[in-house]
Amino acid sequence: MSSSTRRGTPTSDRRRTDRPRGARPRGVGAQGARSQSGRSALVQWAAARDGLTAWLARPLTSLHLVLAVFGLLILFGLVMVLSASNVESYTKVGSSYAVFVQQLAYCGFGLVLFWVGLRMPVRMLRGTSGLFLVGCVVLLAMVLSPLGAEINGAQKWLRLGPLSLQPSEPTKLALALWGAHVLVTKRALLHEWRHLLVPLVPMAVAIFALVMLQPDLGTTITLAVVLLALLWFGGAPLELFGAIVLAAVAGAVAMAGLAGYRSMRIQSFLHPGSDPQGAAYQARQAMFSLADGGWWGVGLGQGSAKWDYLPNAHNDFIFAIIGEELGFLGCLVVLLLFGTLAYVGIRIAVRNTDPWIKLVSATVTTWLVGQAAINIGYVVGLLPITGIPLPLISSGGTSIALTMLAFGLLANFARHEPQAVSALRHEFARSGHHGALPRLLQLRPPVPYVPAPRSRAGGWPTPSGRGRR
Amino acid sequence: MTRSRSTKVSPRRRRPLRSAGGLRGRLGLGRVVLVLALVAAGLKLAAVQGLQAAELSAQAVRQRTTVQTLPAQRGTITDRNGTPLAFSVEAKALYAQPQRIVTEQRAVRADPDMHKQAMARRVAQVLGPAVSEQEILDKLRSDSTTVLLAPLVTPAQARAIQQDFPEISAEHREIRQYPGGELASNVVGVANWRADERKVRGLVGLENYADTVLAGRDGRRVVDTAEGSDAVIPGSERAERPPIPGTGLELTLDSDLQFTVAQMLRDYTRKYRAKGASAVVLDAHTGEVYAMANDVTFDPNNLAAATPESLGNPAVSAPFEPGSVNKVVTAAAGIETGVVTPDTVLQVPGELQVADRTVRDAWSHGTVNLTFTGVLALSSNIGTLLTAQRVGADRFVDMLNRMGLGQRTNVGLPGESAGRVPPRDQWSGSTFANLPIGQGLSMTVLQMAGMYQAIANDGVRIPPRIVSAEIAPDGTRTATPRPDGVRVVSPQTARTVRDMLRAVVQNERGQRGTGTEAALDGYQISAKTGTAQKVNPGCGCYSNSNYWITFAGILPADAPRFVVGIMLDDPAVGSAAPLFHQIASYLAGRYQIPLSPGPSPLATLTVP
Repeated sequence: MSSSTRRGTPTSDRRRTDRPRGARPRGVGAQGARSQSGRSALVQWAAARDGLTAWLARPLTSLHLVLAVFGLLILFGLVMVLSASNVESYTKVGSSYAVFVQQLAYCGFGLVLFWVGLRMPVRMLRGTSGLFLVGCVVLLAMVLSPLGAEINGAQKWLRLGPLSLQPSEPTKLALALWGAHVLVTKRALLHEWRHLLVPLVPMAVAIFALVMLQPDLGTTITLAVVLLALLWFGGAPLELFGAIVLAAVAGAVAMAGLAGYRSMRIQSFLHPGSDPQGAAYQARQAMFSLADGGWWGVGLGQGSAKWDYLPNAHNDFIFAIIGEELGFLGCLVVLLLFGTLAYVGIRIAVRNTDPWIKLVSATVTTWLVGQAAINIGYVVGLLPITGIPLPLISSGGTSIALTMLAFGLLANFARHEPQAVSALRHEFARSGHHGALPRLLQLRPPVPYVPAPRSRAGGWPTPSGRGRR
Repeated sequence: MTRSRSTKVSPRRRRPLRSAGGLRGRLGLGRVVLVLALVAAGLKLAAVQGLQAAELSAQAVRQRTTVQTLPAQRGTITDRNGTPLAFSVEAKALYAQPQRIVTEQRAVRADPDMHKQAMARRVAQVLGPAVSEQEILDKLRSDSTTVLLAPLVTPAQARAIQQDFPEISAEHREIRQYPGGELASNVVGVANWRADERKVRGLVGLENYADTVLAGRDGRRVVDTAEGSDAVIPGSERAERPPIPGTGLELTLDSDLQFTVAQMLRDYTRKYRAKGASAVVLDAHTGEVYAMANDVTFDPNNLAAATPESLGNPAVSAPFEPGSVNKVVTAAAGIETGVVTPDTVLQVPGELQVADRTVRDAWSHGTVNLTFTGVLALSSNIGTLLTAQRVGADRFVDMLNRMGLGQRTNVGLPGESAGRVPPRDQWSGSTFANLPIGQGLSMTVLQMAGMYQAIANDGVRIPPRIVSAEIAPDGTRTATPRPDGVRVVSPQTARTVRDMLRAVVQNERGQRGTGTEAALDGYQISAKTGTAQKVNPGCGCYSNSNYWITFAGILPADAPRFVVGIMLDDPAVGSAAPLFHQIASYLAGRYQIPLSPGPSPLATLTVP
């Protein structure tokens, strides 16, 4: 951007002074464009493409994209939570804003976590990941003790005075961080099954077991997505995935047969409309809301599904409210934002050189986008209903705060792309800081990745050279 | 970015997976999978929101749409001073769904019975001693789908209960209140809630007669409601037809007078053990009904306790034979035609043979000389018949018609009787011996009072009415058009008859009228007593032991303000004059009627 600005200013100055002379050639050009509009369109397309390519090649594009997706999803989510929850809030509490205000508070807490994730040095993040996971596991165990609170038939929450915490949410992130740490540390030994699977898989299975005891199938599925992403991007052999997919399907069928409500959900998914007031009710109401919205929506706040027709309107089924009030257009915006997240998250993984950052970025991205895809998938009727929230949009305290922490990490990692490190350090060296906002946030310039000597022996790419083109 | 090369690495070789290309490939493939998942969701979304939208929306609309009735408030009935006699207040009926409570409480793993106990406690606490907590709890514990917890509670009570227990539903009700209780209840009638129509409808009386006016028209609207309740989704109201509130009625009755007349009538009836009684007070000039009372009334607030007989209004629905009160017809016709004057002396024999009937007077006498005034004051049947014969049947019948007999007054009350006057072509020989003395024809007490109103109003009879105005929902008052008057006799004749009738209450030695107890100090009173033989159903002949005792009077005679008509059914007393005295005395005080300039001049009734 800096180079184009430098070029742009004198050019426009010259044009301004030369206006009488410059007028005619521009006019001729315009006529030419009219006569050969086809070619002109091609030229414009090519120019736009070049512009996009140039913008994408900028060192801080990943960071800006992460921040943009983050901000837009948060704002979108807050607006939709207010719209979807006001009826329920008013009926239950007497104020239309009860859920919304709670959500605002969680967002405030989440912003602090985002800042922590953004500012924490990578080395420290990786170093504390084991502790983080152990803490989460302890909390998960506590949930099952009498300290846990049971709501709607599942013991998911820890009550700490006025606060309530859902420990399965941070566990997703902790598993990603610690799993990546284990796999990267062992990357030279991963050709042996033993090193690939231990201790990651036993740990993960233990966590699954703790979560399933709550019982919470949705979170278990999300955790499984995290584990699969770790193994996939960590380089596990393809046979493993074949086996895992088979085991997962068998396990899901078994679990669905065990728990009554889950079995009903699957039945309702396989035979929608069979029992409009019963098990298929939620799915059917979600369909009604989406259909009511049509292409353009009925207008923000105007939806009728939230009037007790659609259960969980402001958390699990908020996408249906988006579809009703803002239509296909609004849904498309959400899909595009998550699509952009998929793009930029993987881009961060591709461009970084630190293998741990690569693995964590890819895993976290897969977790977030995968969770969004599953949520949207069941709302639109592609998947059976599993109560997992839409990241950053659904109401729900621990979930949104932890998702914001994950975004903080992604932004942190985006600053650690070698090009970004170079640009930021250059800027810092030149002016003593790198922008007003980073200074406000007390961000330090990122530290370039220096691989440990023994990592060269492994099969992972040598980052130097690739990163500093 | 998404080049996915070397993802198909041979699974047997594990090491190539960990090559640089391997990771990039896996990253690329991962990104493609994620984006494809979102694209798949987007495609399904387009199908739902685009292609199937119309069909699904139609089903969604069907589940939400509710047609709501917007109840129209029923009009208020007031007396002539605006005192309410009947008005409506909004109320709620509380319902609960015991089976649903159980399901819902179990769903949140709560104890349904604890919830029901709390519910019953709260309901009893809000509604106070009117309900018993145990009864409410028993209803809640029943196995029914829906139970009625309380049929009529105030909206505020309903709100208080629903705030804590939103699952209790409140349905619209309207309570019709009658602050006066029995006051004018035979006129006003009663309206009650109809469960089938979900509306208050008039049952008897004006409430029934003017039901369409009072009821207004319910509005309706189509709305979307929240699932499982009546909460309206804002902005979903459509096809709204606003309710038109009912029109109020302002009656000509005066509550205080009505109350007093009714009480006096009831006391008099009880005292003399009459089988029934009615009384009306009319404005002498406008024909407005100031009071209309019957001995039997009911409390519209407690309809269950009312007997069917007590619901009627005999003052307009029960005709009787008036007896001597009807002699005013002969008097008016006689003076109007000039066949007699007040001072005309008639030779009245002891008995008179007309066709197959022998008529006697109420007292035995030989041939006496009575002035025409004396004939009326002493209520001589023979003197009246002699005068009627001078008038002639045709002119007599004409006068009956002008007096409004045999015709409904159209006072504006339901069940009004026209009375009965035998048609001329069905007269027998003795008919003309009966009609002038008030036998063989029947009238209501209202018609009876109407005849005297014509005399009081200088010969113009104004058909009585009881609704003075309609009050539109916006407060606009539309006076009921004053009915056209009927010229009965000339003003001069009316005054003459009025003056003659003063002699009825005359109490002079040897010149004593039949209604002396009706006299009121300071006022000139014109009146006429009546005693009619009732028909004995056993023999079909006139009874000599059962009578209708009637009375009609004008207060004051010199400047008439009110006309009072009284009918007592078979009392143990021969006159209603004392009752008239009570009523007239109250009227004079309540309306501060100026005293007459002097006592009635002495009239000569008998001459030697």
